[in-house]
Amino acid sequence: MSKPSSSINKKRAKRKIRELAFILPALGIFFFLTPFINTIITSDTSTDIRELFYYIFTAWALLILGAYGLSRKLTNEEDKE
Amino acid sequence: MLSFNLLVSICIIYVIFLFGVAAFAERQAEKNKLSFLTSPIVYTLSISVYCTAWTFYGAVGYAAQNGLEFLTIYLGPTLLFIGWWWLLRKLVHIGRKQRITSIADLISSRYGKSNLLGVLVTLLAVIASTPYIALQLQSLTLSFAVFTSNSVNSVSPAITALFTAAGLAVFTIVFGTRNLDANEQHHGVVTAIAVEAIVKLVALLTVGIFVVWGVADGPSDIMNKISEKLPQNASLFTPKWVTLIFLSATAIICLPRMFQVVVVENSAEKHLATASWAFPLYMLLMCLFVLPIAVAGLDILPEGSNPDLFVLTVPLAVGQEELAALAFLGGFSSATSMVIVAAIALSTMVSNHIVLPLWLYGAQSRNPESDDVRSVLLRSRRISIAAILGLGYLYYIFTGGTTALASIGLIAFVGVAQILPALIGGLFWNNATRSGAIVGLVSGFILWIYTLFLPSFDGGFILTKNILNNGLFGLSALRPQALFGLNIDDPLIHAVFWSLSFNTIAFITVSLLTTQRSLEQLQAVQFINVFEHTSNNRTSRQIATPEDLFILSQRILGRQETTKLFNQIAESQGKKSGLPDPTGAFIETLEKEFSGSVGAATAHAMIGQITGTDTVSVEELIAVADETAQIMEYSARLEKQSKELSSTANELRKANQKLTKLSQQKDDFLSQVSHELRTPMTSIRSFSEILKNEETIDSEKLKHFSSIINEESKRLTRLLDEILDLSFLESGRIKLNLVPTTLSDVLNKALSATQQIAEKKEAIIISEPKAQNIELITDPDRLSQVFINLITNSIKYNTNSKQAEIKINCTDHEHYLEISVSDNGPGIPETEQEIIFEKFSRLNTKPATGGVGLGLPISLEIMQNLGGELRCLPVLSGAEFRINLPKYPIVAEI
Repeated sequence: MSKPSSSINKKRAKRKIRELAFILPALGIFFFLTPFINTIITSDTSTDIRELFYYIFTAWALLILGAYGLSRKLTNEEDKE
Repeated sequence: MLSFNLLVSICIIYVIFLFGVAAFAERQAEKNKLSFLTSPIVYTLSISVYCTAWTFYGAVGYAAQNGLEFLTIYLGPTLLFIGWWWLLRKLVHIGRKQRITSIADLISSRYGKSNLLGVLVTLLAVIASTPYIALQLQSLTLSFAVFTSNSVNSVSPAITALFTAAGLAVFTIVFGTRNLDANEQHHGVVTAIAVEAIVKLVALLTVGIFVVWGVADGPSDIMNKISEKLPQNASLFTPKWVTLIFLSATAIICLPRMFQVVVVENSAEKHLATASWAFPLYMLLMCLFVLPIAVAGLDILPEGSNPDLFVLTVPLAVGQEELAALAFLGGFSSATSMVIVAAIALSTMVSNHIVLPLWLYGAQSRNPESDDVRSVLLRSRRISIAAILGLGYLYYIFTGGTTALASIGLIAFVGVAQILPALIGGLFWNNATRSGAIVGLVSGFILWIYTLFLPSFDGGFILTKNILNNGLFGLSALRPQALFGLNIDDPLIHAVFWSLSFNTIAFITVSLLTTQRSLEQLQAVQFINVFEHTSNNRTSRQIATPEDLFILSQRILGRQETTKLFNQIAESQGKKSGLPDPTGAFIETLEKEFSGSVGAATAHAMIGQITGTDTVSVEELIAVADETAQIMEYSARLEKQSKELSSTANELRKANQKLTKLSQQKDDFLSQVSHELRTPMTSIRSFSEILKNEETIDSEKLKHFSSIINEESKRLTRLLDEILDLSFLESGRIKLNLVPTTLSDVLNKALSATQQIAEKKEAIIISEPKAQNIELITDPDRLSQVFINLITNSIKYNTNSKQAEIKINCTDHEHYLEISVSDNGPGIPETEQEIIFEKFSRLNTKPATGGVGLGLPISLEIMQNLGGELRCLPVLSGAEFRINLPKYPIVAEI
């Protein structure tokens, strides 16, 4: 009885990994393509561009890290199939 | 300061090095040593051809003027690559499966292998890429000028640009058109591009590190200067920010050179997974020091210095000539790699979608295999490369080389973005039609030309300054940069808004108003469900001979490749020698192979020309479907008939066996009857002869002999009566005498008739008393005849040593009686239980009396005539007969 449920769980896990592939571009859009980016700019003009610089490059690096992890998971899944 | 000659020498040495790398890679590829050449790292580095001189020089210039906005050009591709699973993977999968050779080929192939669309996308791509190539020439010229501006030997920018264009054309022709690869992959060029990618990254990082730690006092100092020197952004999330990110994401798939490296040069889909993080990382590293370099330039260089050249001028300003030379090489790499790949991609499109179709059109009167398609292709590609670089050079001359690099690049981005609606619609929308794509592309293309491309010449080409300011025909609504009165400050956003809006709306509307051709429908399914479909299911009338196909293939793929391919296919068809049979699957494979060299539309046209399968009409498909349905129906019917025949044959076999047995029984019967007749006849004849011849016979003997003759005559008559009786019963001509009676009357009559034989054999007959008074309407004589037969048989055939015992039981049902007659005799074998009711049948046992075996058949006939039935029941010991008799006559016609 345990076999079918474990295969269903495996399939669900695979699907989740594939659906994770949606998360990264969605996060990227949220970081860079929504008015959220304007909240980084403070009223003090002497600091805004630096903060933005740090914000963009940090978010960018995080997305790259996420893409690295996801690409390994997705290719592993593909190899298994 | 580096001399112009030294600079040229460095360039020549570098180019020779690249030649060496490309040649080495080509040789490795020829030896099939592809492990490194087809690695994901080389693939990722080749994608970095996205970072052109615009990135290397222009990004710094853009950052110096607009702050962080330059990042949009790299954030767009980042978003697309980290979401590779949803779009790029599909694109690459389609590209590999359909043997796509270019973006024009993809669009053409998706919309029913339409050559018109191929031509349109090619024209659009060539025109849109022209400013981009000009940008590279301009950046190279500017970078040369930096080193030679103070020299007496300085060469005019136009000459520098001309020589650069010519040199690049030679390199591209040598390595881009050396041969025709079946997959349109160029290992040599791609490896050289990968090397250039490393050079430009190292150069930019080195300059950046130098600027941060050599020019400024470390990161904190440079960050402080960034705040001071660079323009501040009141709001980053602006229409331009969004537009630029969108355009740059679009460019990654729509720019011909990007499509070439991402899709066409891809050797394994898995490489995309690596590129999904490695390419954004590459871009991040390229951008990391852009702001510091821009700030350093603004800080140390005199006001009015060209910010596009800060990468070169900053090291030069602090006396770092070697570093400047490295930076120059980085810029040189950026520009040349872009031009080389763009020229290859565009020349493939021009030769496959414009030159070859024209050549085919001109060659209609002759067979395509009679000319060398390969040489036509190679020649046209070489000429195309030269022409494309020539166009780039002309654009550079026309614009005067004064425009900022970034704005030239963006013009190209908006141009190729016109392909996007048709591309995305083609990948995800089933009802997208060829007409919709054509109308969308043309409208977007015209609006891009009118609102952005022509105004970029600033009144110097076609659109005069007067038209730019007052509109076409003096109509202000037609002002190129304020179309229909829409005043958007940025002409780029204005152009993007109008061109892409019109394009998309026209594409959707026309697609909804028109219907797809049959081939479009097939291709739409192939593209949209690419991960589900495995075969094209070509419908072919197959009138081509394998020889025709071989000759044509040789012309396109080359003799060696063709021989290899044909041998493989023949082997897969199970043929040990000779050419493969021209099956649908074979022709489909061949078309895909051709697509790799000449594009889908042309390959389709060529195959169509030779096989006579230009199009697959819906009617044909329906006919095929009907035919299939009919075949399936016939097959089902045949199967049914086959089963019926088999069952009938089985029945016939059984009947035959039965007939054979009956025939045997009949022979036995005739023999028996003859014997039965002959015995009394012999007695009668013998005794009558005695009577005739013996005149002195005494009266006693006379009486005895006469009585024998009389008895034998009666016996003869009885026998004949039985035969006659059976015949009457069978024919239904017998008249039954139906009268009210009781079962006891009938049984008593039968018991009286059999009393003598029972006594003689000492048999006991037990009749159930409760059956005695049951009333019924029947023919008592006939019914008693049945009982007499059964009782007599039970006694006669009881060969057991013990005393014969016959039991008669009766069950009274509402409408009928169930009477059983059973005995304790030897019984009847199960196999014989049916035969005993056949006429003339007789069991193998020797008759104990002189019966002829007609008793049971007569009894069965009587019961059937009375509306009842007589059966022999299978029992453990003895024999049992069951009579079912209606109490009241239900016989139809008696």
